[in-house]
Amino acid sequence: MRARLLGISWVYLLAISGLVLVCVTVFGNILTSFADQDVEGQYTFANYVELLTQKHLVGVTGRTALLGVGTVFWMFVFAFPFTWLLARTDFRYRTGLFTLLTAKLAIPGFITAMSYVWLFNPTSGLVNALFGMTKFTGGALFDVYQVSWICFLQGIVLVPGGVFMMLPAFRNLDASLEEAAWVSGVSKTYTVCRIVLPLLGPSMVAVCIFYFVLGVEMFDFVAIIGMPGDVLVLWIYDAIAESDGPPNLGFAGAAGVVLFVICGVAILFYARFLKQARKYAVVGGKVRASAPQPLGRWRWAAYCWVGVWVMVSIGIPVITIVWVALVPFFQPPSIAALDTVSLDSFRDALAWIGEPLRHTLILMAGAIVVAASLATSVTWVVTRSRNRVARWADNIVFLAPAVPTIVTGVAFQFIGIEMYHWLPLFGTIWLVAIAMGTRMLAYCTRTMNAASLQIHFELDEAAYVSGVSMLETFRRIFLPLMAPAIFYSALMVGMLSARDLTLPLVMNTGNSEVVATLIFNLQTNGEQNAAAAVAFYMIFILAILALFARRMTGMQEIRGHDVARRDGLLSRLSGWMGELARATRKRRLEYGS
Amino acid sequence: MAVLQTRRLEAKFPLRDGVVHALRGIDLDIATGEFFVLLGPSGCGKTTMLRSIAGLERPSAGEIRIDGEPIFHAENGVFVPPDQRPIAMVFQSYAIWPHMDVFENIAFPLRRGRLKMPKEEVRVRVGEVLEMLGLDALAERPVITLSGGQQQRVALARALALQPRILLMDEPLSNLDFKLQVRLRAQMRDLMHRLNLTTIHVTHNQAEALETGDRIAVMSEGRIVQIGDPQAVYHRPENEFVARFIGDMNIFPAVYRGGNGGTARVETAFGQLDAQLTSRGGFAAGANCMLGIRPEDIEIGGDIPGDAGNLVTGTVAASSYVGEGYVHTVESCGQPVRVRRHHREAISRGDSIRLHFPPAEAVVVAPSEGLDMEGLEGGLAGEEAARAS
Repeated sequence: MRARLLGISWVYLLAISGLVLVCVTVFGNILTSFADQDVEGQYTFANYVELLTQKHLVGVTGRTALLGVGTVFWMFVFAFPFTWLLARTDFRYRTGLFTLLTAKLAIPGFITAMSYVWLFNPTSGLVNALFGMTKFTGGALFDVYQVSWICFLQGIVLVPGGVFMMLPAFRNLDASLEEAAWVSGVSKTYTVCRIVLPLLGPSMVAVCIFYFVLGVEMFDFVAIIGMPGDVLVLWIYDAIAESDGPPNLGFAGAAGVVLFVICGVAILFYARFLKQARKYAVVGGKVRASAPQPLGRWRWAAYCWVGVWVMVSIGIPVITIVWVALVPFFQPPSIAALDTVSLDSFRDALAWIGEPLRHTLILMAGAIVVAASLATSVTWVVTRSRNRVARWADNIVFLAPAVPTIVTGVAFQFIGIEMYHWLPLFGTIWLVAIAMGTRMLAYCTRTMNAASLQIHFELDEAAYVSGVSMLETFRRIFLPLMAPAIFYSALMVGMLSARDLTLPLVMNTGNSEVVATLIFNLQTNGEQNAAAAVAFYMIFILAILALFARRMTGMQEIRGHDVARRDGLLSRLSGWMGELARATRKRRLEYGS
Repeated sequence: MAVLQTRRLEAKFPLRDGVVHALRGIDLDIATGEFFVLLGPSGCGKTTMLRSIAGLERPSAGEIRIDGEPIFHAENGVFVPPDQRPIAMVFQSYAIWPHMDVFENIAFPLRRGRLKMPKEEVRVRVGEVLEMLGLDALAERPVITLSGGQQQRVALARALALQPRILLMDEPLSNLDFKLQVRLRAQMRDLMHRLNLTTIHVTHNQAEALETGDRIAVMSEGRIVQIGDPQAVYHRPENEFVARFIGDMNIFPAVYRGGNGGTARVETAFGQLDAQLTSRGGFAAGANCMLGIRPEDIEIGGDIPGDAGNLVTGTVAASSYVGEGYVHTVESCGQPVRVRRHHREAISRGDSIRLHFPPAEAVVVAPSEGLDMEGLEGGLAGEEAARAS
């Protein structure tokens, strides 16, 4: 009995450490905001006083919100029609569009930002230079240093995520709801306006709010492009990376608390709309997808719109990076420049990349181990333990995305310093990995909770009443059935942590450079072609990872209309597991054991 | 001695707004080898009862004993977790583990569960149940390729392999098509009797309950409202709930006039009628009661001598063909009376006919307060509708 209890408490222990880590980021940040800058161990309101007496506080907060709204606008302008095309139309290249959306995940935001700075900065932007119109020649053609540009770029980068998040809601809309309107004599257009859109409304609003949070906390673009007149993330970063003196963690913490409050409020609204959306979801029954609607002549509009997005979000960055990497110094394309094209920087980059690559691999592995193991345990507690802890755990995990990445960085930096004497992790890549794992925990738990809820509870109960202990059930029933979701989450964590710039940058003390920060530093130091070459390698490897991760789920989602998609991933993997089990058993029988 | 005993079993679940009182003092004694059925409409507490015995729910008060050993005792804080109880369970969804093949599904609990059987024994045991249920050919099939009926047998095989003291079954047939259900009912009962296995079977399907059960406990709102063998439950309902819930019964309000032993005389809209007193408690003269008679028990027409008692005269309001016979609705004294006949008779709408309520078949029961008539009327028809959806 005692051993049994101890058995399953391992899972609880892991889950609770995960929750503690999430709480640490929140409380760590709040603690940081009260820390005295000059006297260690002292707490004070000085940081808030400093923050509140900043002249531009209101303007900066407002601009931060504007950044979020603008980002959502551009995201939605592309993501909504794309989701519609994928879920409800006979658009011919649905698979192609899906693959491109996936591939886009491989191009980190900061690399997109970098390529646009190279093209459109007013002093030496390649496009401006090509037309001979720069700041020095009486006015640039394009000036990328605008809030509107940042909104646009953040928006187009977030399109794939937006589509992937909206798609299930579109798919789960029962066709009979709209068919009921048609057969009652309501026109198709009117049905869409009065039945389909209102039913999808809450989930679309929820997605928009979620992306507002991402738009506000995203650091990639602000870091590279900078911001005319500042936003909160930049204040936080500037306070940490202060050029004259030690990092002002306290001020960063106070600004972080403001950012956290903005995101937290948004997440609460998000929860409300999500609840509303679930009310509209068809409960328990089988959902029949609507038949794909023919696009007719509209398909040309669809091709154009998809084309625009592919060009601006994938085409332009990749072409720019390849060009910049190919020429020995930063110059617009010309006949003369073509003569200087060489692969030298790709070769040179290999020399640069060694140590950062090693760090990146540690970061990926660490983040995967932390996030996957903790998230699996949290998911078990939340969805299957029927324990009082479950509700708390669920709420904490739900709020976790409200903690901005940069705030996570600040909090872990602070805690790293505080506990340096017991555990000297500060300044190492390991602390970055733990912070990254914690940051990814919320996303992993989301995926895994959804997967877990698809696994019938009676499968666990059947084991319990057959005399199998909880831990054994966790190991032999829950884990194998969850394997696809865990594997997929791990891949995504690996990919997202490799491409993340924020945490490694905020937590960098010189000994933990990763590939992302290497590119950032090369770019900041004006070594554009080296930065471009490294970026190219990075995109290449990430693209392979992204397409591999999506292969597991992607085709199932896209084929939607002709494949039974409920439990799709699950049944496929369990089929495969069945094969495996059969093979194992055969072997056992053969060897007569 | 009883294999399973429950005493004063209570279960309450907190909800956001209030408390659900799922079990309200259940006392049960189930004997070895008995096929015991818990029957009731959805939400009556039967599944909570089963899950409490399994240990999947924790009741709030009372006690449960298996072979005299307490496995749950609220006051003493005894709660044996499900994996330590000598039980096995078949679930409504079958709960076949999709990542294992048929053999593994049955072998896994034997190897890893309470029994921790050695490999060789496991193989023998699994082989036995597979053969018993005719599954030998499917042993290596991945379970997701099995039909519903096959999955149901795998679930049963998994439970039987454990050789439990008590087998619990939660609506094990409800996901199968109707014909298969009917075929399996008898097979299941015969198998359990052959194995002398104590079985508790939860169902909302009364036909299933009547056909399989040695004893049936009818549940309503967390209480057992009647317990007895199928004949007793069907022919001698103890209250209006059971009368309405089981089968189809005409029920008329009546006033108790007097009685003698098991018989009663009541005043109805049709006049004074004699009937069996099946209600558990007696009535005072002048008390309100209910007269019930099944449509198939009512006799029609000319073969009834004119001086016989319990005669009702009425007009045929409707006749419908229902497959295995005819149902006539006869209006009498402003009350519709349903009459079921097996053969076509020369009866058409508007005819005036005489009906006879045989006193041995008519019952007098106590009225139940606040019954949800919608959910109970025409029990069997409701079942069919539920299954069709």
